Amino acid sequence: MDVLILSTSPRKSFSTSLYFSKILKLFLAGHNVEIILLRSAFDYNRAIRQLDKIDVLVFATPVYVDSVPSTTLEYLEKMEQYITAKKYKFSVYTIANCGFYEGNQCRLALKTYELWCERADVKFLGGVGIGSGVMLGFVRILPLIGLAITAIQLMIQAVVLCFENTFSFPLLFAGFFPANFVIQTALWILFTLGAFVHIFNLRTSIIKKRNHVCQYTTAWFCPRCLFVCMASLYWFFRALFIHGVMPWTLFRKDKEYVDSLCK
Amino acid sequence: MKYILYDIESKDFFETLGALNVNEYTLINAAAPVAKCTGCFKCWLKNPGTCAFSDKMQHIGTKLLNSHEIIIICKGLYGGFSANIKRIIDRVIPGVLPFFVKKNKELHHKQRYKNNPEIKVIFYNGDEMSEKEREQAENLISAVALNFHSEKHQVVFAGCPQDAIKEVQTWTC
Ligand SMILES: Cc1cc2nc3c(=O)[nH]c(=O)nc-3n(C[C@H](O)[C@H](O)[C@H](O)COP(=O)(O)O)c2cc1C
Repeated sequence: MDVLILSTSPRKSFSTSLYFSKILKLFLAGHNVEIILLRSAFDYNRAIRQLDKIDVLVFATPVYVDSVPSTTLEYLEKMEQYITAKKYKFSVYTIANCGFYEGNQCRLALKTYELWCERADVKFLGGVGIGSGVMLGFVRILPLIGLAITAIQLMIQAVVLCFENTFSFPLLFAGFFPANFVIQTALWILFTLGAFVHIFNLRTSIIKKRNHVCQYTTAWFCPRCLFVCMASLYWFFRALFIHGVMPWTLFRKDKEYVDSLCK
Repeated sequence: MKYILYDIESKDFFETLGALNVNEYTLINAAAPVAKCTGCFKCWLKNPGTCAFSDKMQHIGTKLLNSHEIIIICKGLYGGFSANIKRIIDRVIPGVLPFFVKKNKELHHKQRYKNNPEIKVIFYNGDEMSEKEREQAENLISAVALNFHSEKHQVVFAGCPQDAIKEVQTWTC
């Protein structure tokens, strides 16, 4: 079976939609699956060249203000005309992810793809809506963080042994357990389990070419209150460490607004 | 402040709209080329409240979310905004905070400004929209209103751009 996954996030890097595309591709091992990031006219042309030979088209999309990003909307409009002119008949599934906790906040974005299919006269066979998209996108690097911390712990241990003049590899690893790595990996798997399970179920529907009534999920083992705390901390840390911006600055009013008050 | 956003690039349309009693409104032509949101989140983290793209729409989030009324005259596409209008809507998010509040049993963003604009949307190709698309449009505008802390919103389907202008006239006079 030939499957084309179109990842429609306008993000340059670290896109959650692309991450979920790759997971679906992994689950569809044995089938001919291609992922295209739909970010430029070049990507678009590459994508439409594939349309004549595919059986299934999967959109992996972020939710932007309850719908699809404006960039995607432009490509969808062009692609609709192209498909109706060529009279292609493939099936369409969608994986949507949104930043808010509740997976069903993807419902209107999923519906947008359904309505697109009606216009393009192709079959919409459902999809999944995944909440906590930013969080799930981030937690995939937890195992790496765990690995880095474990490596640092080992290095400190090695330095200590060198100072004591007793360094040897068996001694370095004696009784050592990479606890941090194991915990962080476990967290990644636990939180993302819901997304994995739902994408796996979608894969089964794709293979059987059956209708997959839209289903919603979010970070598992993470109640809403925990999500709110972690997400807020995440924004504070990201602002501080990546942009050097203090936490209280995040609440400031735009200069334009302040100026308009002064007038 | 009050705003009218429209996505029709026609002098006729602009003149008919301008001839209405719309002095208190700022007209924004969404067909003019502007940058598209790339989801970088710098408007929340690097330069809080301001979009990272410095063009005409850099402060649109601040402007719209501090206004009393936003009228959107728009072509309905798959039950939602046209791509041109959506380009502006995506750039409104610097106007809210990255943090969360619970509203209607789900999470939404906290307000950056204490203000609740009224949102009125006219789809001027209402006759061409399917029943499902109209239903989606109603649901979508409710959801957008909730996300932008609008307490009052309205959706109207008009048969053509001229009818849309007539509708605007009943609101502005
Ligand atoms: C302009 C903009 C608007 C967004 N609107 C919503 C929204 O209405 N609801 C929501 O749950 N998430 C919203 N998000 C969050 C994205 O859906 C979330 O970041 C998603 O994980 C992005 O996926 P990506 O990394 O593949 O781009 C918005 C993000 C941006 C940049």
